[in-house]
Amino acid sequence: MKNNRLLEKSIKIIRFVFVFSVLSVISWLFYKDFVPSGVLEIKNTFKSKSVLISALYPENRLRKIEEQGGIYFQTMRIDPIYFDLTIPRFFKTAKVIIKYQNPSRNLFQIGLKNVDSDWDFLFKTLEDKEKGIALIEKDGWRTAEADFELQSWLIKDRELYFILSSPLLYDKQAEIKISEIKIILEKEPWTAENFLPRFKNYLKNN
Amino acid sequence: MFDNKLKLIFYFIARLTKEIFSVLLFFFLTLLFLEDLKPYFAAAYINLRLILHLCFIFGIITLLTSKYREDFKI
Repeated sequence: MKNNRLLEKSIKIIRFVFVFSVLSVISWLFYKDFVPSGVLEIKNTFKSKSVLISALYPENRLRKIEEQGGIYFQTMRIDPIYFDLTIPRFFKTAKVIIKYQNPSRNLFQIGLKNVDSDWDFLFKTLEDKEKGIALIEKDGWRTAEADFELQSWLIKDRELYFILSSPLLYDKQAEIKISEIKIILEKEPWTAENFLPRFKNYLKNN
Repeated sequence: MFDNKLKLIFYFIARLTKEIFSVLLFFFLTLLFLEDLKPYFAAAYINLRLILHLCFIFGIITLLTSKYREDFKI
Protein backbone atom coordinates (compact mmCIF):
# COMPACT_ATOMS: atom_id res chain seq x y z
CA MET A 1 0.00 0.00 0.00
CA LYS A 2 2.84 2.35 0.96
CA ASN A 3 4.72 1.34 -2.19
CA ASN A 4 1.65 2.02 -4.26
CA ARG A 5 1.27 5.55 -2.91
CA LEU A 6 4.95 6.29 -3.48
CA LEU A 7 4.69 4.99 -7.02
CA GLU A 8 1.63 7.10 -7.81
CA LYS A 9 3.40 10.15 -6.40
CA SER A 10 6.52 9.56 -8.49
CA ILE A 11 4.38 9.05 -11.62
CA LYS A 12 2.71 12.41 -10.92
CA ILE A 13 6.09 14.13 -10.54
CA ILE A 14 7.38 12.55 -13.77
CA ARG A 15 4.22 13.64 -15.60
CA PHE A 16 4.68 17.20 -14.34
CA VAL A 17 8.33 17.21 -15.48
CA PHE A 18 7.37 15.92 -18.95
CA VAL A 19 4.55 18.42 -19.45
CA PHE A 20 6.72 21.28 -18.16
CA SER A 21 9.55 20.30 -20.56
CA VAL A 22 7.20 20.14 -23.53
CA LEU A 23 5.66 23.52 -22.72
CA SER A 24 9.14 25.01 -22.28
CA VAL A 25 10.24 23.71 -25.69
CA ILE A 26 7.08 25.11 -27.34
CA SER A 27 7.65 28.50 -25.65
CA TRP A 28 11.28 28.47 -26.83
CA LEU A 29 10.07 27.76 -30.39
CA PHE A 30 7.67 30.70 -30.19
CA TYR A 31 10.56 32.88 -29.04
CA LYS A 32 12.75 31.68 -31.92
CA ASP A 33 9.95 32.17 -34.45
CA PHE A 34 8.89 35.60 -33.25
CA VAL A 35 12.57 36.79 -33.20
CA PRO A 36 12.09 39.52 -30.55
CA SER A 37 15.74 40.59 -30.81
CA GLY A 38 15.18 41.30 -34.51
CA VAL A 39 18.28 39.32 -35.52
CA LEU A 40 18.34 35.82 -36.96
CA GLU A 41 21.60 34.12 -37.87
CA ILE A 42 21.64 31.22 -40.34
CA LYS A 43 24.81 29.27 -41.06
CA ASN A 44 26.19 26.63 -43.38
CA THR A 45 29.63 25.48 -42.21
CA PHE A 46 29.63 22.44 -44.54
CA LYS A 47 29.99 20.27 -41.43
CA SER A 48 26.54 21.24 -40.26
CA LYS A 49 23.91 23.59 -41.57
CA SER A 50 20.58 25.07 -40.61
CA VAL A 51 17.55 23.55 -42.35
CA LEU A 52 16.68 27.08 -43.46
CA ILE A 53 19.62 27.18 -45.88
CA SER A 54 19.99 24.78 -48.80
CA ALA A 55 23.17 23.02 -49.86
CA LEU A 56 25.06 24.53 -52.79
CA TYR A 57 23.85 23.35 -56.19
CA PRO A 58 24.07 22.12 -58.96
CA GLU A 59 26.33 19.30 -57.81
CA ASN A 60 28.16 18.92 -61.13
CA ARG A 61 29.69 22.38 -60.72
CA LEU A 62 31.05 21.56 -57.29
CA ARG A 63 33.40 19.09 -55.67
CA LYS A 64 32.17 17.00 -52.76
CA ILE A 65 32.51 18.45 -49.26
CA GLU A 66 36.11 18.00 -48.06
CA GLU A 67 37.88 18.43 -44.73
CA GLN A 68 41.33 19.93 -44.18
CA GLY A 69 42.73 20.59 -40.72
CA GLY A 70 39.30 20.50 -39.13
CA ILE A 71 37.82 22.95 -41.67
CA TYR A 72 35.07 21.66 -43.94
CA PHE A 73 34.67 23.26 -47.34
CA GLN A 74 33.21 22.78 -50.78
CA THR A 75 34.98 23.75 -54.00
CA MET A 76 33.30 25.67 -56.81
CA ARG A 77 34.64 24.50 -60.18
CA ILE A 78 32.22 26.01 -62.65
CA ASP A 79 30.40 29.32 -62.44
CA PRO A 80 27.70 30.02 -61.27
CA ILE A 81 26.37 28.07 -58.29
CA TYR A 82 23.31 28.69 -56.18
CA PHE A 83 21.80 28.27 -52.74
CA ASP A 84 18.38 29.10 -51.33
CA LEU A 85 17.33 30.52 -48.02
CA THR A 86 13.96 30.10 -46.34
CA ILE A 87 13.02 32.95 -44.05
CA PRO A 88 10.39 32.25 -41.39
CA ARG A 89 9.45 35.95 -41.04
CA PHE A 90 9.90 39.09 -43.08
CA PHE A 91 13.24 40.78 -42.45
CA LYS A 92 14.44 44.18 -43.64
CA THR A 93 18.07 43.39 -44.41
CA ALA A 94 20.31 40.41 -45.01
CA LYS A 95 24.06 40.46 -44.46
CA VAL A 96 25.85 37.57 -46.16
CA ILE A 97 29.29 36.69 -44.81
CA ILE A 98 31.34 34.21 -46.82
CA LYS A 99 34.62 32.57 -45.82
CA TYR A 100 36.51 31.36 -48.87
CA GLN A 101 39.80 30.84 -50.69
CA ASN A 102 40.24 32.33 -54.14
CA PRO A 103 43.90 31.76 -55.10
CA SER A 104 43.43 33.05 -58.66
CA ARG A 105 41.86 36.25 -57.31
CA ASN A 106 39.17 35.97 -59.92
CA LEU A 107 36.19 38.31 -59.61
CA PHE A 108 33.82 36.79 -57.03
CA GLN A 109 30.32 38.08 -56.52
CA ILE A 110 27.08 37.17 -54.84
CA GLY A 111 23.64 37.95 -56.15
CA LEU A 112 20.04 37.76 -55.06
CA LYS A 113 17.46 36.76 -57.64
CA ASN A 114 14.68 39.03 -58.81
CA VAL A 115 11.77 36.61 -58.46
CA ASP A 116 9.69 38.46 -61.06
CA SER A 117 12.21 37.70 -63.76
CA ASP A 118 13.91 34.57 -65.07
CA TRP A 119 17.50 35.73 -65.16
CA ASP A 120 17.96 38.94 -63.24
CA PHE A 121 20.13 39.16 -60.15
CA LEU A 122 21.05 41.97 -57.82
CA PHE A 123 24.83 41.46 -57.62
CA LYS A 124 27.25 42.56 -54.92
CA THR A 125 30.99 42.15 -55.33
CA LEU A 126 32.78 40.03 -52.77
CA GLU A 127 36.25 40.22 -54.31
CA ASP A 128 37.59 42.21 -57.22
CA LYS A 129 41.35 42.67 -57.53
CA GLU A 130 40.89 45.58 -59.94
CA LYS A 131 38.71 47.53 -57.55
CA GLY A 132 40.88 46.44 -54.62
CA ILE A 133 38.09 45.61 -52.18
CA ALA A 134 39.54 45.24 -48.68
CA LEU A 135 39.24 41.72 -47.33
CA ILE A 136 39.88 40.16 -43.96
CA GLU A 137 42.23 37.19 -44.20
CA LYS A 138 42.87 34.68 -41.43
CA ASP A 139 44.65 31.32 -41.69
CA GLY A 140 44.51 31.52 -45.48
CA TRP A 141 40.72 32.00 -45.53
CA ARG A 142 39.28 35.28 -46.69
CA THR A 143 36.08 36.75 -45.32
CA ALA A 144 33.90 38.97 -47.44
CA GLU A 145 30.45 40.32 -46.84
CA ALA A 146 27.57 41.78 -48.79
CA ASP A 147 24.47 43.62 -47.61
CA PHE A 148 21.06 43.35 -49.21
CA GLU A 149 17.87 45.33 -48.59
CA LEU A 150 15.13 42.72 -48.72
CA GLN A 151 12.43 44.09 -50.94
CA SER A 152 9.33 42.22 -52.06
CA TRP A 153 10.74 41.52 -55.55
CA LEU A 154 13.54 39.47 -53.97
CA ILE A 155 11.29 37.14 -51.97
CA LYS A 156 8.90 34.49 -53.21
CA ASP A 157 7.03 32.14 -50.86
CA ARG A 158 9.50 33.01 -48.07
CA GLU A 159 12.43 31.96 -50.27
CA LEU A 160 15.48 33.97 -51.22
CA TYR A 161 17.50 32.66 -54.17
CA PHE A 162 21.22 33.40 -54.03
CA ILE A 163 23.79 33.03 -56.79
CA LEU A 164 27.58 32.83 -56.35
CA SER A 165 29.36 33.86 -59.48
CA SER A 166 32.96 34.04 -60.61
CA PRO A 167 32.96 34.64 -64.39
CA LEU A 168 35.25 32.46 -66.53
CA LEU A 169 36.31 30.39 -63.49
CA TYR A 170 36.35 27.13 -65.47
CA ASP A 171 38.08 28.68 -68.50
CA LYS A 172 40.88 29.96 -66.28
CA GLN A 173 41.14 26.49 -64.66
CA ALA A 174 40.66 28.20 -61.30
CA GLU A 175 38.64 27.13 -58.27
CA ILE A 176 37.09 28.78 -55.24
CA LYS A 177 36.87 26.95 -51.91
CA ILE A 178 33.99 28.01 -49.69
CA SER A 179 34.14 27.06 -46.01
CA GLU A 180 31.30 29.03 -44.46
CA ILE A 181 28.20 30.92 -45.48
CA LYS A 182 26.61 32.97 -42.73
CA ILE A 183 23.51 35.07 -43.21
CA ILE A 184 22.42 37.61 -40.64
CA LEU A 185 18.83 38.71 -41.12
CA GLU A 186 17.71 41.85 -39.36
CA LYS A 187 14.49 43.65 -38.68
CA GLU A 188 13.18 46.08 -36.10
CA PRO A 189 13.72 44.64 -32.60
CA TRP A 190 10.87 44.12 -30.19
CA THR A 191 10.15 47.06 -27.87
CA ALA A 192 7.33 47.77 -25.43
CA GLU A 193 5.85 50.28 -27.92
CA ASN A 194 5.80 48.11 -31.03
CA PHE A 195 5.04 44.80 -29.34
CA LEU A 196 1.24 44.85 -29.80
CA PRO A 197 1.12 45.76 -33.52
CA ARG A 198 3.94 43.32 -34.23
CA PHE A 199 2.30 40.52 -32.29
CA LYS A 200 -1.01 41.15 -34.11
CA ASN A 201 0.83 41.04 -37.40
CA TYR A 202 2.58 37.83 -36.32
CA LEU A 203 -0.75 36.14 -35.57
CA LYS A 204 -2.36 37.41 -38.78
CA ASN A 205 0.37 36.42 -41.21
CA ASN A 206 1.44 32.84 -41.43
CA MET B 1 8.08 -10.66 -1.90
CA PHE B 2 10.25 -10.95 -5.03
CA ASP B 3 7.18 -11.52 -7.13
CA ASN B 4 5.55 -8.38 -5.77
CA LYS B 5 8.66 -6.33 -6.44
CA LEU B 6 8.82 -7.59 -10.01
CA LYS B 7 5.14 -6.77 -10.51
CA LEU B 8 5.80 -3.29 -9.16
CA ILE B 9 8.68 -2.76 -11.58
CA PHE B 10 6.59 -3.93 -14.54
CA TYR B 11 3.70 -1.77 -13.44
CA PHE B 12 5.98 1.26 -13.08
CA ILE B 13 7.56 0.75 -16.51
CA ALA B 14 4.15 0.28 -18.09
CA ARG B 15 2.80 3.46 -16.48
CA LEU B 16 5.93 5.42 -17.37
CA THR B 17 5.76 4.33 -21.00
CA LYS B 18 2.16 5.47 -21.18
CA GLU B 19 3.07 8.85 -19.72
CA ILE B 20 5.93 9.28 -22.20
CA PHE B 21 3.71 8.25 -25.09
CA SER B 22 0.91 10.66 -24.22
CA VAL B 23 3.29 13.59 -23.74
CA LEU B 24 5.15 12.78 -26.99
CA LEU B 25 1.87 12.51 -28.89
CA PHE B 26 0.68 15.84 -27.49
CA PHE B 27 4.04 17.39 -28.38
CA PHE B 28 4.03 16.01 -31.91
CA LEU B 29 0.44 17.04 -32.66
CA THR B 30 1.02 20.53 -31.25
CA LEU B 31 4.14 20.98 -33.39
CA LEU B 32 2.33 19.65 -36.44
CA PHE B 33 -0.52 22.09 -35.90
CA LEU B 34 1.84 25.05 -35.38
CA GLU B 35 3.96 23.98 -38.34
CA ASP B 36 0.84 24.04 -40.49
CA LEU B 37 -0.01 27.57 -39.33
CA LYS B 38 3.55 28.87 -39.51
CA PRO B 39 5.89 26.97 -41.80
CA TYR B 40 9.33 26.25 -40.31
CA PHE B 41 8.06 27.07 -36.83
CA ALA B 42 9.43 23.80 -35.47
CA ALA B 43 11.06 22.11 -38.46
CA ALA B 44 13.91 24.62 -38.39
CA TYR B 45 15.03 23.47 -34.95
CA ILE B 46 13.46 20.10 -34.18
CA ASN B 47 13.54 16.81 -36.05
CA LEU B 48 9.79 16.14 -36.35
CA ARG B 49 10.41 12.77 -37.98
CA LEU B 50 12.40 11.64 -34.93
CA ILE B 51 9.51 12.63 -32.65
CA LEU B 52 7.09 10.74 -34.88
CA HIS B 53 9.32 7.63 -34.70
CA LEU B 54 9.55 7.92 -30.91
CA CYS B 55 5.74 8.29 -30.75
CA PHE B 56 5.38 5.12 -32.79
CA ILE B 57 7.85 3.14 -30.64
CA PHE B 58 6.35 4.29 -27.33
CA GLY B 59 2.84 3.74 -28.74
CA ILE B 60 3.68 0.11 -29.54
CA ILE B 61 5.25 -0.42 -26.09
CA THR B 62 2.20 1.19 -24.46
CA LEU B 63 -0.07 -1.22 -26.32
CA LEU B 64 2.09 -4.22 -25.43
CA THR B 65 2.31 -3.29 -21.76
CA SER B 66 -1.40 -2.54 -21.29
CA LYS B 67 -1.73 -6.01 -19.72
CA TYR B 68 0.72 -5.05 -16.95
CA ARG B 69 -1.12 -1.83 -16.19
CA GLU B 70 -4.31 -3.86 -15.60
CA ASP B 71 -3.12 -7.24 -14.25
CA PHE B 72 -0.32 -6.11 -11.98
CA LYS B 73 -2.15 -3.28 -10.29
CA ILE B 74 -1.21 -3.62 -6.65
